[in-house]
Amino acid sequence: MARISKKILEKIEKESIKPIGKWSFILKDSFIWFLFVLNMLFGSIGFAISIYLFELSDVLNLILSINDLIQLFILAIPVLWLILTLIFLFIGYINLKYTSGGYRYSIFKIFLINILLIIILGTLLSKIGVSERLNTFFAANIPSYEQSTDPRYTVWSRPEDGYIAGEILSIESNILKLQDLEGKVWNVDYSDAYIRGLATLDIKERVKVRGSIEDEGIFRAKDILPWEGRGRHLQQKYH
Amino acid sequence: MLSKKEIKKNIEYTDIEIVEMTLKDLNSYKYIIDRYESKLLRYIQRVIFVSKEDAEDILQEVFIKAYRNLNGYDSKYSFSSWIYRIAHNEAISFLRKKKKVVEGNGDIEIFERISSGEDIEDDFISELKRKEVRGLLSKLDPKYREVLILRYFEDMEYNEISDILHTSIGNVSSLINRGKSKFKMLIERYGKNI
Repeated sequence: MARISKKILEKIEKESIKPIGKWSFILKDSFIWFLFVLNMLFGSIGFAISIYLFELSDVLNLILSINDLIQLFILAIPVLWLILTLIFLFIGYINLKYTSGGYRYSIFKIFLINILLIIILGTLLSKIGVSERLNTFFAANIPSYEQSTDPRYTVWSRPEDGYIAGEILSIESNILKLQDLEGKVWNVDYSDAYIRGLATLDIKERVKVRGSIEDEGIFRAKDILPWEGRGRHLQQKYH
Repeated sequence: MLSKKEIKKNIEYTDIEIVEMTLKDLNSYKYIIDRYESKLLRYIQRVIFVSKEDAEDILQEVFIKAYRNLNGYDSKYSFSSWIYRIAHNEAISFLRKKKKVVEGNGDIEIFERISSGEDIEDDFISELKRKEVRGLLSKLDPKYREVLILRYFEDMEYNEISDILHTSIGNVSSLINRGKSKFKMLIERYGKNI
């Protein structure tokens, strides 16, 4: 076969073809790694907020006193944030594959690396309170954020199953007037209720109430929990 | 023709050294071209079964693309894998552009090497066999065909194939095993004279 080197070198010279600058490759590689880090960060934030919102629902706090644990557990999963976490996990996986040498790892290893990173970083963000601050920020700035992402709105809007939550309008000898999350006003008899954690039963305070419907608009409370805060952890912390 | 001095230079220097020299002086690039043109031409023809003219056009694009991206070559990996990767991409892109379907062109070696594992040097290859193998190869899924060619014809290690195809070593291994089984099945089903 005739040597083609001469032909190729001539073409390169004639068309003034030059090697692309090294910086361009460094920039491309850095960008891919930057995207990967960003995906891991967003995935971790998603996971951290999922943990935070799940804990807010107080499912774990009521674990010994409820009999519909599985149903409640499913309701308490912050689906939207969990989906976002999974999306970032998937994008992170694609990203890692395109990093230099990323293809050398098997799909299983890449997923494992991503999942571990998200769990470790997410737990860390949750522990240092970033998830709580971010959630508060989103709730304040994104319309209907809480209703669509916070599982408390699902878990504690089921009076027929014994779960209501809302704002205390007034308090009269063992009866709370409570406006629930859907705007309905209840007379809550809390004479036999166990008042948990930081619930102080003040007017305008938001609380979660577990119990049963006695009559139209009348609810008998067994447990009263604060709306904010992670029941069991805060109880241990403050009592 | 290369002069004696040029041949010595071609033999003495490693790929990485020639790459460094090329970045300073374009003329050194001919050592890379001379070193890889036959191998890559054969590889392209085996993988996508194109005419020699088409293969040469693809090869030219491979070397030009490689030159353009020379700064992107990472010396942690072998240069050979890097340039084969470019050849792989160019071959696939050629097929896509032409919307071409692979047709066999008579590479009997693959059958001999894969099915018997013996050296092909002394094998007598009949024209009949050649035609059949051509047909069988075109029936084999490209992902298996390519990995078998890299392993049995280019004598590449699993990690090199992994670098060329951008897939994990575990996947290379399973592609080779599955490819071998599928090729044997094709021989059993369609092979009349082989």
